[in-house]
Amino acid sequence: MSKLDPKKARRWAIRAALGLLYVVLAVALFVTGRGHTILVDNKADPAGAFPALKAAVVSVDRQKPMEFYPGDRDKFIVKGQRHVLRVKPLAPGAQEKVVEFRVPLKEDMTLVSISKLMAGVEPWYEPFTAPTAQERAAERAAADLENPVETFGSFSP
Amino acid sequence: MNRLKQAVIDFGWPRIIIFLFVVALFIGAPFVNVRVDSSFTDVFNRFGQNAVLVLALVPMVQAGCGLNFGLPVGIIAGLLGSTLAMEFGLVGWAGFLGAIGLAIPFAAAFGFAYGVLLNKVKGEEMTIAMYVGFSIVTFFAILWLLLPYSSPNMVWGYAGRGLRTTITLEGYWGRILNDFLAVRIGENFQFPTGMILFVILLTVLTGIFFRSKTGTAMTAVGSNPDFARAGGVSADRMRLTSVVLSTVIGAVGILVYQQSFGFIQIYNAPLFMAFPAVAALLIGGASVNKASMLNVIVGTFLFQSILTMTPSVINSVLQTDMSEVIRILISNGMILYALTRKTKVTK
Amino acid sequence: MSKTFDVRKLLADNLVVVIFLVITAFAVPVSGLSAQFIIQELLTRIGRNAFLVFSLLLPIMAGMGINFGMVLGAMAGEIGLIVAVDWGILGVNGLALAALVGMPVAVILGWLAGEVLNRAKGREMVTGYILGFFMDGVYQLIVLYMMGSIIPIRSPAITLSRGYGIRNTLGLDSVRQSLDTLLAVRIGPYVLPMATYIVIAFLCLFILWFRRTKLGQDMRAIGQDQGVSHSAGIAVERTRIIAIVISTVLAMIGQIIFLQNMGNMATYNAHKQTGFFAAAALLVGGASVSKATIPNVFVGVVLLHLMYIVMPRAGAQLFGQAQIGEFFRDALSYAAIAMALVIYAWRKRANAEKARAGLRGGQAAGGAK
Repeated sequence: MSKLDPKKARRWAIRAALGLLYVVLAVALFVTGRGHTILVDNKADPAGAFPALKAAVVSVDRQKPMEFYPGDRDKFIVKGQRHVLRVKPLAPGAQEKVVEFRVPLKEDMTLVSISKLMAGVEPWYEPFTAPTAQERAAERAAADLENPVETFGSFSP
Repeated sequence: MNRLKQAVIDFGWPRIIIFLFVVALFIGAPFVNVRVDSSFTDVFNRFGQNAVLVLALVPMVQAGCGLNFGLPVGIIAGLLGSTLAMEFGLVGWAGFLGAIGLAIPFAAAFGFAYGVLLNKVKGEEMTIAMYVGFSIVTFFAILWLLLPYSSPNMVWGYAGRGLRTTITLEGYWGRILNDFLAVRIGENFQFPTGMILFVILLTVLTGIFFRSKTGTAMTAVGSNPDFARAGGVSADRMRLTSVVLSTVIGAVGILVYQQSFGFIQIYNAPLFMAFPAVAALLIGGASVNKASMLNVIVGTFLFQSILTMTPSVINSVLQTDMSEVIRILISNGMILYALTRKTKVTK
Repeated sequence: MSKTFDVRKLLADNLVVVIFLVITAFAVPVSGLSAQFIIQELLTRIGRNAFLVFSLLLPIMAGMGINFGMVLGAMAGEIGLIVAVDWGILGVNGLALAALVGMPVAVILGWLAGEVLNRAKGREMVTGYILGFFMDGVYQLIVLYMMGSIIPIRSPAITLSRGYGIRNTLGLDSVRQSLDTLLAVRIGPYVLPMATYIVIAFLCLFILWFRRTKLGQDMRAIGQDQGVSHSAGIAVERTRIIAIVISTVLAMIGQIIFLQNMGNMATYNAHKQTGFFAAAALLVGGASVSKATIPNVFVGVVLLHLMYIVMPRAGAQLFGQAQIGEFFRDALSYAAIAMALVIYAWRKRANAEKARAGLRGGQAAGGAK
């Protein structure tokens, strides 16, 4: 019989609806469940354009707030794309800055610089890729070349 | 042409594929720097090692009891025999023959109990056999820890009691059959004459048994129970005999395996030993209710060839170790194929 | 006369349960474990394992025995979890996504298993067992060789150092205990994973409802008598396959629940004993190869796991070696299954012979014994 047979048409409609539901559900779960790592950084600009914050309390969404001193770096693990970032410098009379930002779906890690944020420098967040083990080893080798490690000399005659 | 086609269908496509696969491995070996002579040595060694265990399956198949997944029962009897022989300090031929002598009464007793049990449960015997086998292995695992073994080569050094998981047969009767009248050609080829002779002896004896009155009665019970009953043969007695025989041959089988392998392995090692034997028998052309001596020889040879050649050849070609996966796929695939074939004899 | 017969029959029906109860009753005091510890462990383990045991119910109802092929569902669930962890999906979303990804895999594998089992009528259990082994090989082919090479994997953290293949242990920190803690309730000193229990409750309702549908009735009919059902117009082969498919899908979900509680996935070993544990639990709960009810599931999980908790310690106290307790626990579980199978087969034969003797009008059966 042709597909216009009412019983068969109903069957196909139900199957199509289920398939659609499946896809919609999968996408929804994916988008809301995707985990990201927010790396928060408090480094001064090497060129001196903006300072590192002397002391600040930072929190993401409703997670436990963390204290940041100059040069600190810490991370928050979050779920989903839209997040609220609160930065409250500990200097008396300082204003708390609250921003909303979105993390792109594909990014695993995002680097947020609170020093840039407070100084008003855009963009204050950028994607971050963790170096692989090989790259880190190469970094260490290069650093060793710049600052030779002092040894105590050989112990044997 | 029709007869050829019929033979092919009977033999089964999977077996033909496996056979061609083995031939291809042997042909391809020299091209990937795998030495053919040492490969042949390995194949012959493993063939002899496993053949008797495969042989042990035949009586039960012929008697209609299905594939003996409860082979571990016989293996445990063999382990008892060999550990006791070692405990008594028997070495060399005395050790090997002593182990056999000690194992057989245990095997007969265990086989009898096992057979009585199976007779009460005709139908799905194979699953029950499997779990009876598992139970006995784990139960004996407790015994291996508790029985008063004292020989220092066998017990844990620190505690002083309880058997070790792997006990070496070096200095006792390791490789005693293999090295008997062994033929060396060149540096890499050694033919384990003693073991192969032993295997042939057992196979011939079993073949003679099946041509005897009891043997034909056993086969009749398996293939045509009504005919057997009409001839006054007791199906239950034949099945019981087949189980006892299977268990005894299994005990001898693990002893042959041990002396070739060089180690006694206890605790959980025997748990899954039935499966490769079953796969080998099926690869050789047997079915769930019919098995012959030829099936044993051909099947063991093909199966062990695959196990020996695949790691060396395929790994050189693909640069990875896929031997384990291939072994799993082939052996279990073969068993599946046999289990899902429509048999001519209805259950 | 009938009173004593009843007690004997009751005993015979539940022999395995009784033996387990007796042995466990002895072992509990010997082990020296506190009642609170035992109860908390049991509460956790029910949540962790019950779903898997449920997956065995439908094939038993359809007369196909214990579906050892449920292992295929477990593998599907593991593949789903690998995808969820690879994409970094956290919490319950990750679990749900794993189930969605595993669903088509489970359906396909279940269909395959059903077809194979249909070709092995009369030996479904052995065939299912071997099929599980075979599929383990296929699973390794996919997860150990194809993932990371042919199948793209995003995070290098979960692949082996050689570049392809998933690591032996997959950390499930992203979804660890997410279902359990979703709605954890404290009652006194005990913590109950309510969300998991609710999921299990839904499953019970589903099974109760399913039994009343036409499909469910068809399955029961097939379980009773295949020949009669066939004459009555039921598509026997297809219904059997559907039973196996549902069983496989449930096993997939059950394995995901199991693994989220464990927090770690032994990529290549996690599914190996799934069928055995579920079957042991069900049989110890008083089910048989042809009849299994929902109470059997819960009784069985409690009894089996009670023994699992208590036995190693009891062995340590009695013999000075915990190893003996573990071996004894394993031996007892295997023996329980063997015993249940034997009792079932024995009674099936006894009933068949009684029926035949009845047909003959009570005359003595001729022929050899």
